Amino acid sequence: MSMERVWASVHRAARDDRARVSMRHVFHACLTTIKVDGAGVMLVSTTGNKEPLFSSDASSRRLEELQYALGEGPGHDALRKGGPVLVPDLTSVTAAGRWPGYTSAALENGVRAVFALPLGPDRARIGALDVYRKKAGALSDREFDNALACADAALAVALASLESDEFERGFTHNRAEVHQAAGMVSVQLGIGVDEALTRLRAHAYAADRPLLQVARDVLARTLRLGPADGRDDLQREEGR
Amino acid sequence: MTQHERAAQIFVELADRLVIEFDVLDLLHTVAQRCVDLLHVSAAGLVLAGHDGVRGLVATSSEQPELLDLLQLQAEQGPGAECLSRGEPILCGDLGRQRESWPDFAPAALDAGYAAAHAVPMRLNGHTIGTMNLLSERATGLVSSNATLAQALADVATVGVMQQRAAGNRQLLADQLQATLNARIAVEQAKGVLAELLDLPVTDAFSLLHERAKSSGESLQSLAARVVDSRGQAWRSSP
Repeated sequence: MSMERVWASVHRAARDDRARVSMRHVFHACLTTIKVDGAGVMLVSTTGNKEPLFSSDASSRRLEELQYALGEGPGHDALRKGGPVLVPDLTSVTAAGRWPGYTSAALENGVRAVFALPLGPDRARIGALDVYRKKAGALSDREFDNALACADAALAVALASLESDEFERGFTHNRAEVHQAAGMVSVQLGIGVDEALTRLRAHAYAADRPLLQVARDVLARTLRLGPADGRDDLQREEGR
Repeated sequence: MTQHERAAQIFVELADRLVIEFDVLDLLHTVAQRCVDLLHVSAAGLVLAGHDGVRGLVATSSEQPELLDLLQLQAEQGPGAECLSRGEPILCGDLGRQRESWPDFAPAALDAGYAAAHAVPMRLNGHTIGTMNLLSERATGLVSSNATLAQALADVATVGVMQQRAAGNRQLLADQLQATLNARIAVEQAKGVLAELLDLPVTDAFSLLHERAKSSGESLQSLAARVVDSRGQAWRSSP
């Protein structure tokens, strides 16, 4: 039942849009059938990069990026464990203990509840769907079933995104500059590109700025991450 | 237990095996074995038709080599072959009468001690994806209730095969999606590495990368990955 309900909602949204089914129609189904305020999808590369590619609105985009920048959050855990991670109230002690950085940042962004679902079965787990609520509250049984069906729809649309330009747009819009900046930082500091990504994320967190803005500053050469940007770097300098 | 109850029990068992992560060969083997239990035949084999016309025996009720040969032969000639081309059950209660129609299969089956041979199509949406072949030592047809049961077993096998193909297709798409993601990440990172190394705008770095890949015949992704891994050294050292 939930499958039919969710796909009906997806198709209705696409029809109203006079467009082929895309992730934003899946997000519409999330909003109406799970009764959430926002949603986002990240896809994971085989090299382990968890890329926030799609989001329903600016606020969800910020939360998806936060999860990436902090390297922690319900979506990451859902991906790792292969099952839903449900956080009906982010002010709970458990949430703060599990994801200290993410929890406070999400609350500051006006989110009170997060539900994360992995995309795909074990062998083909390619990402996670995060849905956000501004008010605390658990999912009803029906909403939970709908959430599982939404995750399945998100997977199907993600798999089809290569054939449209949706994947390309998502990547170019959200991720390209971050990876370009990582390449530059890698040369500037003589470190591996994964470490460069970590440095960019740490800088964004410390400066309390969106990672994409930090990346753009690096690309514009108005920001150069110094070796003294954190304690790790001081140690590395001393060790040379 | 009546035959009806036994049949019901077997369908529950088969349905249990149709959960998301299942081994399709295991399911097909079970179907072949249950044919022998339920339909009072001596042996059963499932044959799938490939796109290229190859017919492969994928599961049998026993691993006896002579039986395997015979079931494979039945896929090429005899009830199996006819069932596949016509998409309907072919029942032959007396192989002795079919020596002329099936000059290879009928004598071989009779020599091996089988007197009857049947085949039931594995059909989905008007398309025959394979056949379920049955051999019996007794010269007898399938009574109509058994023919219905045989078709039901073939349908379970068909659902299993289609479900596995759909899962395989998803897996393939998932692999493609992740490969594309890997490639896009590597290319953007390589643009950054070159932009910094050569003090260029990022778009110019991409043109250089693209040209180098084109002239050297290396894939863009592979070149990008080498540039990133070596922090640009691979760019300077190669021509």
